[in-house]
Amino acid sequence: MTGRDPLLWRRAAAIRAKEWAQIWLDPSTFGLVVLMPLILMFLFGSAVTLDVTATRTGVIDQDRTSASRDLVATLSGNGYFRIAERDSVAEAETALRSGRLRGFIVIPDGFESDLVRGQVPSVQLVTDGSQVNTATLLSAHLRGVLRVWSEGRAARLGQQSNPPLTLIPRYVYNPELESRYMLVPGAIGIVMAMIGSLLTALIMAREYERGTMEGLLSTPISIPALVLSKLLPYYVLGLASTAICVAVAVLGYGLPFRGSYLALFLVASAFLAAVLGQGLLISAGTKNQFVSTQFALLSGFLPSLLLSGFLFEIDSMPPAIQWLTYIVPARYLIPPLQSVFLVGDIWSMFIPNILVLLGFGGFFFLRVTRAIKRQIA
Amino acid sequence: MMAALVRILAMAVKELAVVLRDRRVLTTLVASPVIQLVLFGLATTLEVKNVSLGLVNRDNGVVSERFLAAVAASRDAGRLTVYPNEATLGTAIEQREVLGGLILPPDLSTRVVRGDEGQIGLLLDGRRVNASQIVASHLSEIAGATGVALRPVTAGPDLVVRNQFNPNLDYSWFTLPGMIAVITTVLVLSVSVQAIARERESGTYDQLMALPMRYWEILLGKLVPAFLVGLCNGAFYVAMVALVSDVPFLGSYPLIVLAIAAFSLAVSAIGLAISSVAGNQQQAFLGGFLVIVPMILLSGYASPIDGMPDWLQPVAAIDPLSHMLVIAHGTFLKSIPSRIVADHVWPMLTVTIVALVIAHALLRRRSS
Repeated sequence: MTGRDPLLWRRAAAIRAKEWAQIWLDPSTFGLVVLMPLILMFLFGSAVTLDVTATRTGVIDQDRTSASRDLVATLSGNGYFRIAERDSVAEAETALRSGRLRGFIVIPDGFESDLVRGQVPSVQLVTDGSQVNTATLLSAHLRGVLRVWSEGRAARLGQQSNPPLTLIPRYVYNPELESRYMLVPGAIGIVMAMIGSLLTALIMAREYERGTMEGLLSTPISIPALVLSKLLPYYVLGLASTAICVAVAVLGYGLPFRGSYLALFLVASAFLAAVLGQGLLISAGTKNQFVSTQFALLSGFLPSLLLSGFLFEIDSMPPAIQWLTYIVPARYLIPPLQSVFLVGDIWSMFIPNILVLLGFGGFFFLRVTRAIKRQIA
Repeated sequence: MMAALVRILAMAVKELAVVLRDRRVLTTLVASPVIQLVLFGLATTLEVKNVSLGLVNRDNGVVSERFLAAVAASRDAGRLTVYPNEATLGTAIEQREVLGGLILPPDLSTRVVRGDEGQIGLLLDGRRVNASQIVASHLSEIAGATGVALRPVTAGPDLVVRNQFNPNLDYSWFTLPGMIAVITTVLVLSVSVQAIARERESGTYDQLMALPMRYWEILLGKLVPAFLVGLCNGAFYVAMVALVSDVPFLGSYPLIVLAIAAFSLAVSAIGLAISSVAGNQQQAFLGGFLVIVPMILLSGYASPIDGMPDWLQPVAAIDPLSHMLVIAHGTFLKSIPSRIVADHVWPMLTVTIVALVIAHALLRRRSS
């Protein structure tokens, strides 16, 4: 950069106008900006759920007494189980293998008589271990149901059955424990990551492939100004997408919004700065549309989905991968995003994350300007 | 008939040459999936362990001692940080320093020893829904066990759990076979979706249409690279996971390769249908993306199909990925009979035919 350029703003505006025109002429960009948020909001709001509901469970009642029938009735009435009675263990095992059942419960012969005599009968649960999360939650819920059932039965029979020690869980910010309260804010992050890294990954690569890059580079505009002007329309699109997502989340799904719009704007802008920069760097580096989209998927989108902490807990990942998450921008987006919806403004948490994201953005921006500079020389 | 096959073969060879010409494309097709498999296969776990918890202990009696010892010995617990009161614990949860915290009231031990019920409070972060629930259930179990050890009571029925196919509920046994299918989907769709769009963008589309080939011959020829990419990658990953990781492989290798072939065919056909309407590479890519994301999210990989609304579940049945997942988990962990595999291969073949018919119709419409 040699001295100040008096025509800088006009040149930058010209580049921006050209980008906008290109976006306008290609309807697929709008498809991504409008359609994809709606689809993702719908999927994470309605289809993808970590709430265990109506899991197909078989029951084999080998006792056939009033106690066992009572237990079966209790299970059938419970929302977590979609009970299907089977006649034999072999039948249930075949269903487990084929996937028609996610587990089956065996009430053994002698169930009621054991209870009456004050002994402890064993109820068996066989789960489909290949579906690990479902299996875990299934046994947890069954334990709960059995405890409540036996306490209720003891109370009805006038017996003392006070468990000596119980745990009373209480969930803050999300008392009903709706998984969508966790998933929808995360999905908003995914939308932003998508627009940020995938769309921009195409921009530069497309110019290189079509041969229009040289034309751009020969215009009398400085490289940083060129890069920023190219990015600005996509920043606006990213914000528009975010706004659509938030509207659907709050108006459509009734998600609470306890923070401030200012906080949301700042966090979103910082994150967009980071992912836009990342996409542009990939684009300028690979100069090939196919390769850059694959790379953006691998290093931008998939990490945002899988390593950011919104779907899979970071604490549970192997240590090496936990270290890796520190360089995933989305990791710094998810906590503030979830909090701005469910908790409120926690500036002491927001500000460090925003600064890190801006740091990412600055780093990528510098690398992009340097990468393009090399081409001219 | 022979002539048609020769033409299809010629188109297939040309397509392969184009796709494999760029060395970087080759690397992307081979190296990046392997990285994804390893990285995300290991990271994507819904398991809960090493959780940071807080503790507000106003009891310090025999009950809390026993209980905390049991908690420390359990698989879940990572760090246990002590807080002076509930307010500071609440702030820590808000700041996400801990997932939650145990609150032991001052009269806990006296109550239990006296014969009354003792209650332990557990405050959990409702933003992290899955982890909170699992931690709550594990700690609840520990509390119950500690109580019964201190004061045996006429307990109700005991629960004995057997986790078939995966006795230790090892998460990688679930994610690795599934990840194979997911990555193959992304790969195959990425390649097939460019098939026709690439020609449109580079201007060779008219040449393509001027060839003495029927539309369906062009389509079948263009199907080949994506199909081969899917088949080779899929077969390779299955072998890699079976040999390198500790996930057991109980089924038949030829059978799962056959299923992968059908799966690759289905996804390639879907990609080709998208490609028929795309005007350039960006549109093709975005169109592919708009299809991949629902395909993955509705397949049962990220969340169980049982949890989806009833009207959405038939859509999962059309999704080739949901069938491939059943076959993958079944072949690795359950040694399912070939009849069940066939049950899930038929829908994939049906999808292939439907997608090809749609691609054919779209191609004709666009060219006339």
